[in-house]
Amino acid sequence: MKNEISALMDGELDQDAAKTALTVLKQNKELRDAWFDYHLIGDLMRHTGIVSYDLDERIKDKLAQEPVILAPRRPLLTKTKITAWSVAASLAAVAMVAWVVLQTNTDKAKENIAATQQSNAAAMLANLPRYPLNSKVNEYLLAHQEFSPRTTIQGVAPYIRTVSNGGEETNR
Amino acid sequence: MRVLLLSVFLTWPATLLAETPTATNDALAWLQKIATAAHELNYSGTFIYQYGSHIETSRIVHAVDNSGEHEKLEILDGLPREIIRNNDEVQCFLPESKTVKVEIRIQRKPFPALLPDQLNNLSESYLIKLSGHERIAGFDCQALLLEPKDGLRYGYHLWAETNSGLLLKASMLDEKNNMVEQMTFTQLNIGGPIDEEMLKPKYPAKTAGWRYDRSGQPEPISVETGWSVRNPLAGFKKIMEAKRMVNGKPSPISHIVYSDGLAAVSIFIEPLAPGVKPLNGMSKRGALNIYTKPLDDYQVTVLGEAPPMTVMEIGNSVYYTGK
Repeated sequence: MKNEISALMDGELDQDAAKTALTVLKQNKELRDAWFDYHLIGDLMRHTGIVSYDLDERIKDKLAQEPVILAPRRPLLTKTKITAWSVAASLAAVAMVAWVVLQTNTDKAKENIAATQQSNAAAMLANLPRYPLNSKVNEYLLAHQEFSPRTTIQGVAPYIRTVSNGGEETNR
Repeated sequence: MRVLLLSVFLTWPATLLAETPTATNDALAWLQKIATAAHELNYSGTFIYQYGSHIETSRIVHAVDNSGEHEKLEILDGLPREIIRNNDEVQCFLPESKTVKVEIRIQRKPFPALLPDQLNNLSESYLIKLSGHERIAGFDCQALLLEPKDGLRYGYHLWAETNSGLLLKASMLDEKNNMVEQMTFTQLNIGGPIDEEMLKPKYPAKTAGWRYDRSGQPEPISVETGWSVRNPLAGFKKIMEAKRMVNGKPSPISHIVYSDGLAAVSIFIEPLAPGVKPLNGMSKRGALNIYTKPLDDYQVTVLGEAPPMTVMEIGNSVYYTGK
């Protein structure tokens, strides 16, 4: 889903997919966080000068979690010259690293979740009872067929599926 | 420099993913040719439909004249059945129950062809390539292979007559390359005039004792049904959403169709009649998989020419948007 959020941000989703993504976004705190993170990264990469996230809150939280170090502070290095370019370059590098890390992590997490979901779904599928086709479903088959692209490339032939005398297949 | 580096970083995966574009385009052009041939040619022949251990022979006739397209499909084995299509109207004759089911197309397409959108969608989900020449039913054919890029859909092996582009054979393959379903001509005439008699139903229209089931009063396509799919599967896009009448149902049914350009999956949602026990399970006929499940006071039926897992997952992510 995070990929969809990213695509939504880039305006790459069609109307229908965007609608779905927004609905899910509204309901899911984790995805909303991702949405803000992506904007933050985008802002950094584009150097808009405006960072669109409540950074201070997050930094405060992080600082609160840091251990207190009771040691004398090192004197600050006096920098003779800092060019705007080097700042920009390092910002870009940070953004790039952040982007790569984020991408890698979400991909990995996504893979793990997908693998678990896949095996759950397979178990669920294996346990579902098998029904023979009934006349009720035949009505739906007829209604479905006109939308099958097969009808576009093959004419009326695929309608055979809706009236076939063949029964239920018992093998899976 | 910085911009250059960044752009190199951001674009390299795209260049890696690119396939040989001309090969894909040639194959896509063939698909377009197949779609055109199916609707613009006169032809008649015998074809075999097979899945699992089931084999069935049918006769098919297709003619184009000033009034449009006319087709007839007649099942030759077992119970006699006929399907007759005149442009937007499909009639299904079931002599054993003396019933004619009439289905009127909701989506009227001015040109029966694959749309550019659909072709783009296709190459997102399939590796499409030409795969040599073969002889089918006495005709030299161009073979095409559509390999799915993931396990969400079946693969296709298509054979089209080299000159006309007419599809003479189509196999659907599962992830282990086993045949799921096959339709193939064994005898065929392409071109030439078609006798009108060959397109008429065997059963005289409006004969006493026959029942006419007329469903599908066409309704606006963009009707929002209030239902949607939480996690649309990769490559599947919504192509239709409507509330419609279906034969034998007292009230309108919500019907949503998702397609990847070649496989289509329909979702039907109907209110459960009081006292009716909801169904939860799978059915199968060839490449068609059907999943039924109850959702609150509704029965959800999902069916399409896609693997059972795909059909089930789409069914399980149906939800009510609350509109």
